[in-house]
Amino acid sequence: MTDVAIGLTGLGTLMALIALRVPIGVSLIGVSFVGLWSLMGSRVAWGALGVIPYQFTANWVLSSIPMFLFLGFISYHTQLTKGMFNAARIWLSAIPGGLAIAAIFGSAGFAAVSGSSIACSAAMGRIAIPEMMKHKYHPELATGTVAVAGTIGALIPPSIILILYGVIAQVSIAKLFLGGISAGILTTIGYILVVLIRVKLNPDLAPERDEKVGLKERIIALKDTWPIFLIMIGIFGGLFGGVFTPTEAGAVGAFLACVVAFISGELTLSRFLQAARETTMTTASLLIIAIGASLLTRFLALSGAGDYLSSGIMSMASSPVLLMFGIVLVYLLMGMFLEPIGAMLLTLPIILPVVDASGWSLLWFGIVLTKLLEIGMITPPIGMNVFVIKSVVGDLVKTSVIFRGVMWFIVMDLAIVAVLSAFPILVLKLPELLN
Amino acid sequence: MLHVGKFLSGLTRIASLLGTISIVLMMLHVTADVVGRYVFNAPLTGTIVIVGHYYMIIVVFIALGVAEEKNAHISVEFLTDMMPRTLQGWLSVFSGALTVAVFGLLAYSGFIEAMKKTKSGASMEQGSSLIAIWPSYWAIPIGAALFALVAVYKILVKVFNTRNGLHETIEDAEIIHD
Repeated sequence: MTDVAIGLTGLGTLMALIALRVPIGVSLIGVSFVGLWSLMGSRVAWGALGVIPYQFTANWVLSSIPMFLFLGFISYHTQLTKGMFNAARIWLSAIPGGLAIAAIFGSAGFAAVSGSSIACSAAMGRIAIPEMMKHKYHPELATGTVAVAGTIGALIPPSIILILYGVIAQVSIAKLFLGGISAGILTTIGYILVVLIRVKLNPDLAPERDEKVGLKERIIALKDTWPIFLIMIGIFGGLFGGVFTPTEAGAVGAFLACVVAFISGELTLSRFLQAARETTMTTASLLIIAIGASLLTRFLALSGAGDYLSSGIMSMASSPVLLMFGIVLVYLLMGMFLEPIGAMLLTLPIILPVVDASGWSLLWFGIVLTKLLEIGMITPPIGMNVFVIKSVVGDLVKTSVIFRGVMWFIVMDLAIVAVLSAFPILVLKLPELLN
Repeated sequence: MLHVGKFLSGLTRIASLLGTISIVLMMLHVTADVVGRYVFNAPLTGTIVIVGHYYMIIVVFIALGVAEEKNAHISVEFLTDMMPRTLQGWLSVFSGALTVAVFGLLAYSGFIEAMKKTKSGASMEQGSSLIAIWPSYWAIPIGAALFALVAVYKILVKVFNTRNGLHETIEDAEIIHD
């Protein structure tokens, strides 16, 4: 077998193993080890296995992943965003679909203290869905909105996906974060539009509430938003004011969240420990995949299969538009079955050289990629955000109903991807200001 | 078998505790460094080395076995869920065996590497001080071995259909209650 053939066989085996439910990390490490052995002999294979896992993990920049996860788990367990949702609910009481819009605002706020979309959906789901059900919102709208709004969590910084992308593609994480802000805000506006349009077309989806709220009540409601704003200001002020680096922002943010939650009386020892335990487990299960992916990168590079596939893609896609179309299609398909971080780590070794050779900005691509991966969180049959919402509502709402509620927003998501692709400046403007 | 499971569960509980401590220390250490640097112009030397080479390594590798016990490792269930039950059972034994093999290999290579680094007394320079990093190399063989052991145990329980001594569910009582 030629080296390229060994590489391609390895990739095929990898896909088969993952389909047979072998943990992704195990599949990656196993295939890379055997592949390296058959390419370069036992010494190289043992050498890579002995050195790469340690080298990859002992990384200062990656340490922001557990810290941002911890920040998210603390915020989740202490319900730090409850005040924000309540304030949005009261202020938007006169608008049709106001509760759904409040849930989107709440998610965007939670996104600023959470790096993943699952945490975001779960947090807003258990606060906003009961409220919407109480006001007779259609279950489709109530659950779909929250499942979708959670995806803002991975766009608005902090973002676990963007940190991993930055480390692998060697793009400044601070700049990725700034690019994520514009994409996140655009997404937030897009989702609000979808709610407004749907309720306009069918007012029965969101019956009007006859709450009359005075100005005094509105002002009082703002008072309870202090925890989330304090943490936001702390993180972003410190980050972009040069007090600390993006890597340090996670730890400082988590610390700040603990202090704020403690002051507001929500932080118990058991919640604190549970957040730390969940952080440990999530970090281990994510990073073992990243370790496997870095072994795979080595294997694909040495076999030449990575180059072979990348140049194959380049020669097939005759125009940039066609290439982008292909990339969107591939990630939408993968997103239906794979969890986003796994999908990203599996494909970056092949797709990054293509993006680079096309002369596209790696920073811009990181944001569009995140957006595409997040669509995978809400598409059937495997849509993690939808499953999280399902676990919040239990038997009250069927999974298929949630998926139906999500469909409307997917159309908007695709429109946003198109806009971001046509006008990369939307993503690149904020990061440019950093220079 | 039940006792073996309880013993393993005890080990993963210790591992989980070590991971938890590392997370909390990481947060406090980095925050203290930032405050020290910004407010007192006196950063803590060695923060970057200790965070990367100790906390990160411990959190990732020591907690591997914990994630295995709680079935938290990421896999794709979509295709296998459509298969008949018995086939699913055999596939999970297959995937368990592969897990044992891969992490057995990692434990072995990690052990060789840790021996090497211990003998040479590997350390890292930061500023004017030298920080020993060789002890952290041991986290890989220990963590990978624990992962492999838990996976072996899960296979045995499945094949011989005996009582399981592991705690495979995550305590999410709080989420349910409020």
